Amino acid sequence: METTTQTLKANIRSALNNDRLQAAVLKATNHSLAKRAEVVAELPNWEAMRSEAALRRDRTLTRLDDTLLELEKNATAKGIQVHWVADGEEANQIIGQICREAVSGSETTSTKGEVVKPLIAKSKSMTTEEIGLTPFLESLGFEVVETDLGEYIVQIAGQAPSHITAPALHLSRQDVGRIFVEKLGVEYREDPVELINIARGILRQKFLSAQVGITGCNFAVAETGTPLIVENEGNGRLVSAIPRVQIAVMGIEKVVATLDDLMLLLELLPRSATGQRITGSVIFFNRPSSSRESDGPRELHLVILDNGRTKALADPKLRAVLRCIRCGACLNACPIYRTTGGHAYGWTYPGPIGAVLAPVFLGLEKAKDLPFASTLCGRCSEICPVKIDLHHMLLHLRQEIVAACPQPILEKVMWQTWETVMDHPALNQALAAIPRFLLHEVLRSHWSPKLPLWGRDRSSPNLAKESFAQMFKREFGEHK
Amino acid sequence: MALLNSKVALFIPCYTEQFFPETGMALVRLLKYFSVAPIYVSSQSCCGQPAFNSGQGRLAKPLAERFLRLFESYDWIVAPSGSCVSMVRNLYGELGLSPQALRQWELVRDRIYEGTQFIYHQLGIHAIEGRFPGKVALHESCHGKRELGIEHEPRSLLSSITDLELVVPPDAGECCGFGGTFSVKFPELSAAIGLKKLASAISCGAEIITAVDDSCLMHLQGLAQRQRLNIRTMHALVIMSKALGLE
Ligand code: SF4
Repeated sequence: METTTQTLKANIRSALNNDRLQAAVLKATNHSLAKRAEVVAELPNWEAMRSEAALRRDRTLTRLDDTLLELEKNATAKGIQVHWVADGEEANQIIGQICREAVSGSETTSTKGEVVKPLIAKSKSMTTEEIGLTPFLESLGFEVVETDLGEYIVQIAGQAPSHITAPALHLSRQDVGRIFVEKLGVEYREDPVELINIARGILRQKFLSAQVGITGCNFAVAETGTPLIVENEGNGRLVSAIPRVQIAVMGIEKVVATLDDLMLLLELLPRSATGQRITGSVIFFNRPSSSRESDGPRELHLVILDNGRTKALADPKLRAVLRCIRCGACLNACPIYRTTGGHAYGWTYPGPIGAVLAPVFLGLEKAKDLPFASTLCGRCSEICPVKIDLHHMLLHLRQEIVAACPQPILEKVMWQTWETVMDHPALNQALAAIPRFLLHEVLRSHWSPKLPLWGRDRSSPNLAKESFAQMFKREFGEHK
Repeated sequence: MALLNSKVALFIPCYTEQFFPETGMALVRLLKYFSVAPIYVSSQSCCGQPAFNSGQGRLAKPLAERFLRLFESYDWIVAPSGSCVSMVRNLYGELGLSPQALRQWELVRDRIYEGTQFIYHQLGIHAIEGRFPGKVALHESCHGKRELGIEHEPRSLLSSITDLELVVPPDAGECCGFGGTFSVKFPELSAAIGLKKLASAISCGAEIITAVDDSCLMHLQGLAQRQRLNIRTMHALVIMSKALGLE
């Protein structure tokens, strides 16, 4: 998606002006939170599991290089082709190349003589969103179809996912009904089952003719050399079973050392994400299929992507962000996300996790407002299944941003003055000698509706007639 | 009482000092009522939180060091704000303090308490034998709840008051949308979040919304006023002090 982190304030304003969006987001996030709470309550040792998961994720992160090499070794031994890529550009080039080779020599005209674009089927993957894979492949002349229902909806609507596990979370079923009328030319319907059936009918055709399947990768087990995805709709299964060539794309942090580690994370992920005990399927891409097997890809590629992750790895204050298993719980719990939805964040990853990743992935300057768009309430850190201290990372990033990016001069002067006053009791007391009604007037003029430091929706507080110091002295005399 | 001979200092946050002195006075009166004579160090200023939250950690550092110098010699420090206490307890370590200040911090961080927590745990007061008529909704201020673990203290103290009906709205533990500088940088968003909070308290039938932080309440009160909503704000300590007739 086009990055609009630099117009954050405008993005937020437009979300706040969209009542339908806000209603849809609130309803969906409430629903997810309620379902999560139910299944989490079943596990009396949930907190211990979170701590254990955090510990194991950290253990892997401290020896990430070795673990990734082990993954490569074990995957390669089974015939999986592993590709290391530094950034999105390189990833796209390699994936584009694999796709070109996969379709070379195959028919490109239909019986009616029209040129038929070679078809690529994708299952849900935020990592491929991150690198802009779909538009890149389209520019090479491929037709790329999203097969996850939510992704499919936002794709035909010409939008980007607004949530990392529920791409179309910002849309009500009425919105989806209208999109289908406009983009697919079907009759208006708003019954979810009917809508799903329409999409299924179309997607089934696509599955059968897709020449390449592209999936994400929720985890990749180093000790067995196995990438895998979790999913519910069955589309990931088809994408990884029908096309002759499959490509799985993973960020370097998706590697887990052992099956044991995986089992723990598989307890945490679906509960946190969708409030499920386990997802409909967990699909292991263990090896390419042999000529004796009737399904499964003959060619299986694993693309391992850095794209800024090693920057987080190198920063002791941010390293733990790589524990993230992309469950989306921090989005559902965040008061900001719950109010604005995901598009306002202006790039691939919304919510608290997105606000932490943006300065790392996009650079401080480009994402300099995002860490400030948080109340630091700590709901994200509280709900995160791998205990990432998200809100304190945001606080840390604020310091980095102020140190590295040019600040408005007025703000600088204001803070410096404030500090000087606060640090000098004599100054403080001199100010206290100014008649309070005068101070009150000065404050008023800055907080008037015309110059709304606090916005138009809120009255500013009144300066008290006496400060605490004055009151205390009057009533109790003694001071120290 | 074990605390009879200990030195208890007040920490009055900068905005309480200027905008909500009554909250500070309520704390003083309550402490005196429970036989503690708090000391007010008048050269105190701000804990540094506003600066640190705004990315100005460089400016928060001298204020933190000053805070630690002033309060190092007290047995207890009590503040009518969960947020400032959390800054001192949990975040001073992030400021790159001098070695001396770090040593002071090790002492001070365990001695600083939010008001209701101090009354409940250190004074052992679990009920307020007073009367305050009204239906009061609880807002569990984020830093108090998640950084200091405040949960049952204000609940027990408030619900023990005669004629006070304490309601805990389903979103009691969610943020009010204040967030310090956030409320200035993103005023509309801050307001939108706060209005949800107020609507939920009002739909519970509450006339008053209370919390252990005047910062949240300042924001909610501003919203309620401007939008002419039928709800007022009152700090938990003020309610307790009024219930005991300490005015
Ligand atoms: S940061 Fe934590 S809560 Fe947020 S998506 Fe990642 S794992 Fe889930």
